[in-house]
Amino acid sequence: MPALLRLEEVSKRFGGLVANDRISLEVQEGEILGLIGPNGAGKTTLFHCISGFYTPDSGRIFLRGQEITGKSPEEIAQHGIARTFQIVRIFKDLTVLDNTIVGALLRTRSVQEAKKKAVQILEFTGLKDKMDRLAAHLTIADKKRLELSRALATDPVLLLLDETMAGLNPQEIKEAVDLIRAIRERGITVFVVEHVMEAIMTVCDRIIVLDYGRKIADDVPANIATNEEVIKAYLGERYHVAG
Amino acid sequence: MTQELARRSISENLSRWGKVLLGVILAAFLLGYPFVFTGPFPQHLMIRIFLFAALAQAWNILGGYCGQISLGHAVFFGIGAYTSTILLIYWHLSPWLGMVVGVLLSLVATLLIGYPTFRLAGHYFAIATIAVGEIARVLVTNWPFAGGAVGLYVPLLPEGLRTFEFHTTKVPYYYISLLLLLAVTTTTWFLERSRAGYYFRAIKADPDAARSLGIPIHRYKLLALAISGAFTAMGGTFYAQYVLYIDPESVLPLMLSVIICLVAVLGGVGTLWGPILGALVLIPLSEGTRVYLAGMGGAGRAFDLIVYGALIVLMSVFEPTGLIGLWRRIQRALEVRVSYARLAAARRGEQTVRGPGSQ
Repeated sequence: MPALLRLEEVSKRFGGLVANDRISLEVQEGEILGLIGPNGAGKTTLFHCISGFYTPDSGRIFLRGQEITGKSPEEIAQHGIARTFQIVRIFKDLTVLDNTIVGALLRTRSVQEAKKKAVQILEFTGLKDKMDRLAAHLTIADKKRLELSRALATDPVLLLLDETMAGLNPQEIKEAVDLIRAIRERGITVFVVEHVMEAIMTVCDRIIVLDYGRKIADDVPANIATNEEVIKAYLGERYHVAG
Repeated sequence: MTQELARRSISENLSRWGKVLLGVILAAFLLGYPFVFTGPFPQHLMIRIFLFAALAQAWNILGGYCGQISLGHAVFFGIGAYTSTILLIYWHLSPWLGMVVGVLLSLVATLLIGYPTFRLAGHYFAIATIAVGEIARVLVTNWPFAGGAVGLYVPLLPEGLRTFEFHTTKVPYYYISLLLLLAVTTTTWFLERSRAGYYFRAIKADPDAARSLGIPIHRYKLLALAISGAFTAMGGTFYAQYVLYIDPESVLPLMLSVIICLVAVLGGVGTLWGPILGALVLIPLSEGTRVYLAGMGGAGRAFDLIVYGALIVLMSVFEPTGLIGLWRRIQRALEVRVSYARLAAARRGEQTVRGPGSQ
């Protein structure tokens, strides 16, 4: 079966800095794929390249065999890739429901239909009780949940999550992990950047490791945890998070 | 539970019969006004309120909902005024058709202005629109065909709806301007509830997040500018036919763009009633100072601007959401008071019911 998303030698440079150095990878339909690496390894840059906010300097990106390299963020959303941001970017002055409606309007012109869909999504993500609140008044965990709801409302085939668990407490992290699993159950492929090791190790089917813009490992979590190069580059002194 | 009931009561009771009644009274007042106030000044005042409320409402679509602050809307006003007047002078075209052509030209201007300037974010867009407005003013000032700095007189024709000229009464102008305000307000009402309205607010709140949700922000900004500019152009034609004289200093000055923006900002941007509220407060203020302070130096002309400035400072310090925010605050205070009163009443009721039985 062809990959849902395929990157071929994608590079992105900022001046002399090579943020992404000839990265090739595949995301399979229905999997939860993790992307980890030390700060500045190029994880967010790679997400920006996939979602169209950056144009790669070289290399090509395919979604279901169709090339999407260099397309605009709005076109890529149209193709079915949704994303969240490292620092939440919800529409603060809008209610929770209206935020989600904006996402749902991608697939329908009718506000009524979008509203129905948005309510369903909020029920799924557990925000329905708070749907009339202003987004600005939510807790951090709920803001992240809202951003996720909004992305889900666009009916994506692939969801890019950029550090959705940063800043959450253990209980909230557990809920987030459950939610990510539930999203996969809905048939949506999830590609997630995360720093919270215990979470990513348990939730992902496979993990890709970046270091200084290069891909240094691509394996199942158990092997990643024991991979020499990964430990050297990154995990060595940092894998205390679980404790 | 009683508390919740009490809190809901005001807006809910108002939302049924109150709103209908309020609507009927408002409609009767608006329709009957020129027959009650037959003098030229009260009528002129109302016409200016309607005109500026309409202009601010049009500005609000782009600036309030979509978040693109324009300080060059006089360009569209000027296009409307000059197009209908030039077509009338040189080709004897009815001003009504001139208004249509003005709207079409405003759409062309939308593309010319919007395409390059919408690449600029935030304040830079506002600055660019100032430049566009000034360029238009200087061009027209140096264009003899359009009357240059001297301006153009709208040819006097027999009065009537067909010629869009009335010399002996202001009443038709009153209803036409009311209609214009109604049209742009209704459009805004529909926009608020449409996909475009949601997209405008999303673009205002966070353009990048909007793009990640598949919103072609460029196209929607152009749409907002097109609707906004079209209504502003209609206002320009109306102004030309009302005053029957236009020059760059009256229909293209930067001050006009600023005042249109101020009316909306003071009233409350991104709300349906804000621009109307703003016009209701600001226009009588400026007309009043102009009339009553005419004896002072400069015929009291700049005085309204001083008051505007003071109001802006006060509003941005105490109520940045505009008059509409002030109104909402008053409404909330009233609701709290009512809910307290009801709570107290409910408690007294409980006591009296319980009273005889318990002892």
